[in-house]
Amino acid sequence: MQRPAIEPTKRWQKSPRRFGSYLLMTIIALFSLFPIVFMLVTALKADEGQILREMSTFAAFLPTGELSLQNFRDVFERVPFAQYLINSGLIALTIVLFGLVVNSLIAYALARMQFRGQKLLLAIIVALIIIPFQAVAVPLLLIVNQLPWFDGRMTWLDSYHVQIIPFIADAFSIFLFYQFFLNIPKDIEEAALVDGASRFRMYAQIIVPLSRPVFATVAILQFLTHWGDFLWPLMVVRNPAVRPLTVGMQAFFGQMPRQWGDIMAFATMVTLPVLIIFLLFQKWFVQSVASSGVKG
Amino acid sequence: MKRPWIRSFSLLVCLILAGCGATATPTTLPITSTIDANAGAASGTVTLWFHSGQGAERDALNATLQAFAAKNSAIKIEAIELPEGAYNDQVNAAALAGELPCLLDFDGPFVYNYAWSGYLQPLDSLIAAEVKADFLPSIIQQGTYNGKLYSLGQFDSGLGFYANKALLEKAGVRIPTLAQPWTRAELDQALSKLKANGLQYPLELKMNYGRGEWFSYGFSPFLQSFGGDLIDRSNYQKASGTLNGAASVEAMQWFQSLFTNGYVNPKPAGDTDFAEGKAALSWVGHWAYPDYAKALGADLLVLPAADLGKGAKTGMGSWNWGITSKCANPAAAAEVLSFIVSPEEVLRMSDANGAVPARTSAIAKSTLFGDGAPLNIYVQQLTNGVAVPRPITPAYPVITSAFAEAVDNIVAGADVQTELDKAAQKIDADIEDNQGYPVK
Repeated sequence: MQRPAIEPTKRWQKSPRRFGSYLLMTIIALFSLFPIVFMLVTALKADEGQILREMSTFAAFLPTGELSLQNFRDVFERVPFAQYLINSGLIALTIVLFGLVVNSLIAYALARMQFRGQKLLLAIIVALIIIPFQAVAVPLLLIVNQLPWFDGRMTWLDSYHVQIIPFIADAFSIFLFYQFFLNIPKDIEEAALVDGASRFRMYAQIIVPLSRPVFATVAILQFLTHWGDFLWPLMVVRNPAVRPLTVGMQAFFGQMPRQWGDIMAFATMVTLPVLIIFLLFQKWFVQSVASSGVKG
Repeated sequence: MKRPWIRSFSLLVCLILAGCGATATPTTLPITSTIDANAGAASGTVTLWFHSGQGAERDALNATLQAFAAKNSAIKIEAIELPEGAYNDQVNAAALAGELPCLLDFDGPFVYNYAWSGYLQPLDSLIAAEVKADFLPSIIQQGTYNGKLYSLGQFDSGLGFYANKALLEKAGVRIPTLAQPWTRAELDQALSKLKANGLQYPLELKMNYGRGEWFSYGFSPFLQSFGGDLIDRSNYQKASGTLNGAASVEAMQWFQSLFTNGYVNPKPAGDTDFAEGKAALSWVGHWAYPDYAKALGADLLVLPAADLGKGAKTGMGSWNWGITSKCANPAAAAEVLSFIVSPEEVLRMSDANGAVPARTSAIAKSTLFGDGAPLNIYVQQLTNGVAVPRPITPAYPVITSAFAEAVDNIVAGADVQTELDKAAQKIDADIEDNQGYPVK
C-alpha cells in the first residue's frame, strides 16, 4: 500500500516547533551574514557621503545609489595590495605546510613511541595551549631580534622567516594530531613492523593516509589563524616588501574622515580568498571539525 | 619505491629557504624611496620612517625628499612609510627591539614619552638658533621636554568653531571675535535659539570620530576653559584633584548637558551634518575647512573658541619629527630634518594638508593662514596663548586613553564625578607605577 504523501503545509502544522526552529536558524544565519553583506555592498558604493548617511540604517545593506569598482581601484592606488596579498598567502601557506609535517611527526612520536619524559612532554604541550600568544610576544620579539640568519644579518626582523618559523610548531595542532593518532588501531603498524618497515615509513605510508581529516582540520585552522595574524607582524615588520595584508590595511585607519568605501573594498579582497578556500574545502572542513570535536 | 611527496616537500623547503634568504636584503618598492643627493656638510645614510597620512600629505613629503636629493648627494635617505593606524605600536615595538631609524615622525604628545624613554636625542645643538626662532611658539612648546627641544614639526593644528552664517543670522546670534569670544551663557543661548529655529542638533562635535585622540584634543579645551585640566601641571604628578576637581566636573556636566539638551547628536550617522546645513556650528580642526568651504561657500565662518569662564582655550599640536638617540649619524639626520622643516617645504606641506604652517616666514606666504586669510584666526589662537598644549608628561598616552573613556561614558549618560574619579585614579596609578616618571 502506498503511503499518502504529507503536504508541506501539513508537515508544518504537524510540528510547529520545527517551523519555529527554522525561523530561529534563519534569523541567526542572516545575523551572521549581515556583516559580510554590509562589507560587500559598502565596497561597491562610490559615494562616501552616501555610505556615511546610510551607516546606521537598513539601506547600508542594500546596493543602492551609484555602484562602481572605484573603491577597489583606490585600494590599489593607495597601497601595494598585490604585494601584501602575496606576502600573506606565502606566510600562511608556508606555516601550514611546515606545520603539518612538524606537528604530525611530534604527535606521532608522542602517540606511538616510548621514551623517557614522554608523558611530561605531552603535559607541557597541553599546558602550552592555554598560554595566549600576547603573553609571549615581547620576549619572542627580543629573542628573534638577536638571532642570526644565513645572509649575515644579526636579526630576524623585517623578513618572511620571522613571520613563519615561530609558528610552525603549534601545541594545539600537536594535540589534535595526537588525539587522532591514538584512535588509529596499532595492528596495521604491528604488521608493517613485522615486515621490517621503519618508524618513518609507517608514519608516511600508514598513519598519514589514514589521517586525512585531521590534516585537513589542522591545515584549515592554521591557515585561518595566520591569514589574520596582526599583532606579531605589527611588531616585527616595517619593510613593505614583507608586510602582510592585516598590517597594510592600517594605512586606511589614520586621519579623519575615514574612507569606509576603501576600507570595505580592502576587507572584501582580504576575505574573498578565505571564503573561496572555505567553499572549496567545505566538505573537508565540516567533516574534520565534526570528527575532531573542534569548536570554532 | 615512489615517494613523490617527500621529493615535493624537499623542493618546497629549498624554495622557501631561498625565498627567505632573498627577502632579507632590503627591497625597494615605489613607496620606499632611496634618495641620492649632491652636496652638503654631512654625509652618509639616514633611515627615515613616516606615517602614511592623507594622500596629499604623503605626496608632499615624497616631493620634499626628492627635492632634498636634488640638492644634496652626500646624504642618502632610506625612507619607509608605515601604516598610520598602527604607527605608534610599530614605533614602540621597534624601540623595544632597538631598531628605530635615525629620523621619524610621531604625533605631538607622544614626544614626551619617547623623550623620557630615551628614544630621542635633543635637537638643541643640531638646529641653529635663528631657525628655531622662526617657529611658532606652540611648535617649540610641543617639542620641549625637561628644558630640551626634542622635536620640530612642519605644521600645527587649529581648532575652533565653524559656523553657518545664514543660520546664525536667522537665529539672531552674535558673531564672536577673538577679542570678544562667546561667553558660556552666550553659547548656551545661541544653541537654544538655533534649536528653537528648527535645527534638531545645532552643534556638531564630530562624535563620529569615535573614542580616541580626538576626544582629548577636541574636548580637553572645554575643561581648561572652565578652569579645570587633565592633570595638575605644576609637577605632572597627580590628576586627582584636577581632573576630578570642581572645575573639571562642572565642565563635563556642561558638556553632558549639550547632549541631554539635544544640542549635539551623540551618534551621528555621518560626517556631513554641518556641511548639509543640518547643524549651524561645528567644533572641529583645520582639516575640515576644504570640505566646509566647498559646501557653504560665503556662508562659512571660522570662529574662535568660546570663553567658558576662565578664558577661551583651544587645542594645538600635530605630527612632528625627531632624531633617535641611537642614530649613528645625527649630523646627517639633522641636515635632512632642517630641510624638511625649511619654510619652502613647510609651505608645500601646508598647501597639501591645509594645516597651520609651523614657521612664521611660511605663514606670511600662505594664502590660507597669512594676514587676513580665512584661517588666520588659528595662527592668532596659537600665538596669543589661547591654544593649550596637551600635558607635557610621559604619562600622556595613559591620560588620553583614560579621559577618552570618561568622555565616552559621560556622553552615554554616566555620572560625571564617578567617571572623572575613575580616570584620575587610572592616571595616578600609572604615574605611581613609573615612580612619578623621574627625569633621567
